[in-house]
Amino acid sequence: MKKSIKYFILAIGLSLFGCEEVVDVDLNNSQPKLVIDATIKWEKGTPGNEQSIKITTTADYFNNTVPVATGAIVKITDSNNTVFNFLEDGTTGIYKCTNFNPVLNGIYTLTVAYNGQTYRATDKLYPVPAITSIEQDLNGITGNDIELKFNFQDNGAESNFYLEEYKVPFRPFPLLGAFNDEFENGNQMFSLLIDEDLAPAQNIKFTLHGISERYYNFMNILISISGGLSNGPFSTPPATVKGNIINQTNSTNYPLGYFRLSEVDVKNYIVQ
Amino acid sequence: MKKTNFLILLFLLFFSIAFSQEKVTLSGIVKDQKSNETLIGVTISFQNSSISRTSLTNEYGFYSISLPKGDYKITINSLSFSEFSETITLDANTKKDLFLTEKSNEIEQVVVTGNSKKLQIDKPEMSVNKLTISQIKSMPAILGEVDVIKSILTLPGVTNAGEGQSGFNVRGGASDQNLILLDEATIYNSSHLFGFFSVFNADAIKDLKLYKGGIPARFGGRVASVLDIYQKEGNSKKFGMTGGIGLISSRILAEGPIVKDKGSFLVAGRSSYAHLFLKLADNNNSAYFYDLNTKINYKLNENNNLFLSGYFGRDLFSINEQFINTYGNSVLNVRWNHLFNDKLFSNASFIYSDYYYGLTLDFIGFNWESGIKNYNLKYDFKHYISDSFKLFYGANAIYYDFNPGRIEPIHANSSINEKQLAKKHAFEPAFYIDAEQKLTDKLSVNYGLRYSMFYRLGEQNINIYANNQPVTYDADLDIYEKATPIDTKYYGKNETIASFDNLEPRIALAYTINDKQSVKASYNRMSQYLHLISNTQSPTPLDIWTPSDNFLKPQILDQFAFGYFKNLKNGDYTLEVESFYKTVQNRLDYIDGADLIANEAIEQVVLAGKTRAYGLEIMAKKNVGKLSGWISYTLSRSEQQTAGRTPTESGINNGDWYKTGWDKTHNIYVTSMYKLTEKWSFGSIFTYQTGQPVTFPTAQYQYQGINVPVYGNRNQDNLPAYHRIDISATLNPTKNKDRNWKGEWVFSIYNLYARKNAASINFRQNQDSGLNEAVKLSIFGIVPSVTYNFKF
Repeated sequence: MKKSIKYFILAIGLSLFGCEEVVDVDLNNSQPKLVIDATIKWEKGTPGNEQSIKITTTADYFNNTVPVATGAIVKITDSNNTVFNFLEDGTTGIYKCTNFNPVLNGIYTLTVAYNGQTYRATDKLYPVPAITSIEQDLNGITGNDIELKFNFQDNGAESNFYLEEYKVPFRPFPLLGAFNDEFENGNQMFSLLIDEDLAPAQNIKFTLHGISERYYNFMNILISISGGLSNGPFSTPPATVKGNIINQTNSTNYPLGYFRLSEVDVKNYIVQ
Repeated sequence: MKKTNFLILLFLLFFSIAFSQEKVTLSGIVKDQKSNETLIGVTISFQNSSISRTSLTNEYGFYSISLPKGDYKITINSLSFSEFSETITLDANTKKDLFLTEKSNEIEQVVVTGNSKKLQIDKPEMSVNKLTISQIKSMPAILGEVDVIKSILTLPGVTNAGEGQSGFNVRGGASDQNLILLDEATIYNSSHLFGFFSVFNADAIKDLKLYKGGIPARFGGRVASVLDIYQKEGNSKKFGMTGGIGLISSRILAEGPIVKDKGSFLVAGRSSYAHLFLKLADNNNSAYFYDLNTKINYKLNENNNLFLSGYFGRDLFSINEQFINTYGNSVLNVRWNHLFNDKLFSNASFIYSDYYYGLTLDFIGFNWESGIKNYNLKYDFKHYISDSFKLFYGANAIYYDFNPGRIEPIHANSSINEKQLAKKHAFEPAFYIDAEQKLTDKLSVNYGLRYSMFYRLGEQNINIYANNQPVTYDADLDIYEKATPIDTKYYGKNETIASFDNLEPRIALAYTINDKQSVKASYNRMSQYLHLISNTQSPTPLDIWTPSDNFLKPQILDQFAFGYFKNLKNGDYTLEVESFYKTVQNRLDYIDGADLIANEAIEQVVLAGKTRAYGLEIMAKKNVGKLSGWISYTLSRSEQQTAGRTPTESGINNGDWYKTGWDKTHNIYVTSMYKLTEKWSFGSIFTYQTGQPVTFPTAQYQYQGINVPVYGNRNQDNLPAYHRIDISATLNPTKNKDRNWKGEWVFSIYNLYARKNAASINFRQNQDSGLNEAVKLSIFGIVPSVTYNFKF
């Protein structure tokens, strides 16, 4: 949340006289890279046996689609050496598993073999507290906009990192944010959604993810470079977002994406 | 100890040369006849059939010169004042104040180039630019708001990152490497409204001098430049008021005698209107800034003068009382000028300054504040030993208190825990000695040495890390991450946590080719013990200052400069050409994703790198005539590199050099003023600059339902070139002449041909279609404005 506050404060400065227009820019293109979106989400109250992993490659910036990577061999191994195979659904680049066995704080290893290269990553399944209540009011920053608050109880015994994810009808992509409990350790915490496009009768799907500190760093960079503040006066230098997946065959040809496992809690809310 | 002995030796050496000549001394203060305002940087010529010498007034208007007994003609040739000429018979040490009368008694109208029109080609001073306030006021300004900081951007070697961005960059340096002094007190943040306006109320300012290189040994603590700004003292002859009404702010200034001819005061206030953000302007919101300047001076007797000056400024934003943001500088300064004798001038100062940042977010439920305070004691001597030898020496000591941040909940159900990030303390003493010597008729030299020290003091718990590395490197993933402290060590109050000391030699040479032209060369070493923690393209008000410590080493500068200087047509035209090369060690860079807000362990997210900059600067001026002005051109490069600490580490940006965010290959300013009649005068500024270095994406990918751009190495692209013209017209109604009340209208147009210069180009997904797009943000289109100034 800290970052978004900073951008908010600074955005005020620019909203003063600023004028935005869409422009054409000639870009240099880089060599395609493999992208492994290996996100295991175990929703509270579900068995979590159905999981999928998406493998694609990068594309030119203004392309409307990205190429999928088909024909990969994808598996996850747990700490008891049980292997969960992920099989491709046709040639979609989506690899599915129906017998995954999620265990909180369990250690898992992902292996992907594609085009003669082997990629590997290891991570832990992070737990998440339950969303305890939802509040809606008009106390938002402008006093006119709807504000939604999803409350949950932070675990005071440790440092925790969270990902907030909103699926909203007024955006074609999810709204993401990463935050931690540095100043709120052990307290009732909340995820806040303030948007002038929020309106009654909309269905808002909120997902709270428990994540690692490394994934928190990764998502912070990823969100800041994809959020449109990539080179304004108050932006930080755009960075290559490096994940936790290592190319065992040729480490310099690292893949993009991340292998992470999160317990998640999901709440659907109809705006009043 | 060796260093101290060396200093003493140097000192004795100077004095043995010093008293070998037998002459009489003429000294005094140069003042404005009308107000007794002292005049800085005035060249005084002393001539008779056999001798011709000049002397320059110091920051307090004081001059002193030793001459053989005889008759002399004293002349002062300045553009803003009528020519002064007087013959004096010098047969004993003499005190003589000189009074100049303004050429025009309109509100400061005449365009001048410093207080002397000619370049001081024989003085071993280079890489220095002076602007008088009348010059600054004659330039067109955005929304009519006269801006001291923006005006220095018209000088060669000075840029800023972009329109509306805070601070300024000198010779490729970062903006936190500028020492900004207001009456000798450090100003930590020079901007209002994130950089749209500067904190200096031009009405209260007398003079400014920007040192880009060849920085005298009396200055220290920053590695790029010194911007030395002096406030007016106030009229000690009669009471008067000046003021103005503009589109952004209104100003009022009162000045007058406390005791006629002995003491005066000046109080000035400026406030912007309450709803500056037109887009946010409804009743619950406000956004404004204000400043208060004050100065009191009192002449105790012939040899003692007291000055008290102060500044207080704040920016305030409030949105529906949910979001309240306040920040600004305050400064208080007491100075005592004492003349030991007609050759030895001294000044003692006690200076307090601070910067405060406060934020309240009611909708999240917390208050946040951070800041820096310093207490500075200074004692400076200027010793006018002979007409060919001057010695400047002194000491200063600064004590700092840093508040990296304090967060507290503001209501009972707030989820925030109260926390004070560990406060930091430091002490920075320094000694310097600086000599200006005319070795031969053609060769002058300025050589000096500053010995600076820095003590990082307790009370504080300091983290201890494995292998003394607060940042770890994961070779498999090629990422830098925070290390976890293995222990902490407690340091008691005033116990030294880390200490540094640096010898900073400074030397400048001037070789006069003939009476019209000269060449100069200089070398500087400087050290900077404070770091502004900021990883944005341009600093923001919420960035905090942090001292050097056992993890963050001081920044060290080495700069070389060479220059060619020429006066044409007796100084009607002047030409200055300089080139420079400089390097800075231990410049901080930030690991990817570093979160700097409320970070109690900054050492975990920074790595030390280095910077280098080089360039060529040309400035050609026309100083007299109806049409005057200057052309400045800078060709330069400014780069930064942070290599890995070991060969296996990749460093930041793969350890490659990359352009800084304020690198501008070409930077041209054409500033002109035209005086049509007594009634009408005009000003214009044209600028052309290479677009700001930026990083554009080279590809994209999809992750978790969002499109993510892929970025390559930093700052390899550029925004489109930036250019614009601003014009202004000033109307001085002729009926002013016989009236007490003098009014003036200033009409200006910023960005005359309404170019939509890019402040940034952002790459993002369209909020409705989800498709990628490039969006250009331009800040100012064409902006007309009108300002009314008055004086009575």
